[in-house]
Amino acid sequence: MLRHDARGGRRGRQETDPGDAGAEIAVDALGLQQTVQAAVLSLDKGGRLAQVGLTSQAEKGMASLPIDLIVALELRIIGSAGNPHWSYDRLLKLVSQGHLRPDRLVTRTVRLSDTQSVMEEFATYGTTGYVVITDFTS
Amino acid sequence: MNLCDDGAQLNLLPGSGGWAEYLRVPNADLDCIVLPDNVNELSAAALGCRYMTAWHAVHDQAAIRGAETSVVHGCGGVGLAAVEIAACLGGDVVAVDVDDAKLDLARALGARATLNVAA
Repeated sequence: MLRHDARGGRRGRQETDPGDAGAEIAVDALGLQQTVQAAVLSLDKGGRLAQVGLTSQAEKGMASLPIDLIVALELRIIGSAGNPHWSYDRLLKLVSQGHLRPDRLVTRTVRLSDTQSVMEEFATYGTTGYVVITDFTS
Repeated sequence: MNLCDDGAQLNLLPGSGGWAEYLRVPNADLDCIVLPDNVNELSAAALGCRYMTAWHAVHDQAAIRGAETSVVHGCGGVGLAAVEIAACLGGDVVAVDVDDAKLDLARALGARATLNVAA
């Protein structure tokens, strides 16, 4: 889903493109050079990127971005870290009312002794959804 | 502070330690949040770190307004939560990843479209 090339030129519609317009909001939840760039390039004019992912060993904190495009389309890149105390109220309200269901992301529950193997899967992005320890006896 | 057998520290923030059975919370009124009665422990565990990070990004920082198109790049723990939260807040969500299983889950959580960008 790349709406633009790096110089601001409009790309033709790709067959896999799920929509005609770029996005108003992008979230990069990985922090790889590839994903942060793709996130910026997926935005429409005035779009905003919430950058959540921290970079990997490969980027070491630095990633290159299409600056001309950011200028021309007046894009905004907004960092986001954790969740401040004041923002839990509405989040918990939506969870308690059943509008948000974080438990739906739990794909597996494990024992405490399974922790090591679960952690090892993280390194290869092998985990889908959340793994929660529910048995602390073994 | 809990240390590994080789003396290494398990932590995210220096000095915070990890894997403790008990935790001292000196500023409990500020640092603890009361769970509503009907939010169970499984949901609370799922909320920690990943889910609430996605909440802050979508709700507070990107400040999504209803019906905005939102693209989520990377459907790990934070990305999948961002999909559900953006969809819940009225967003029209496209999820991008390289793994079909994660994209299937993204669709179940409310993504209108998914895109597998594996080479």
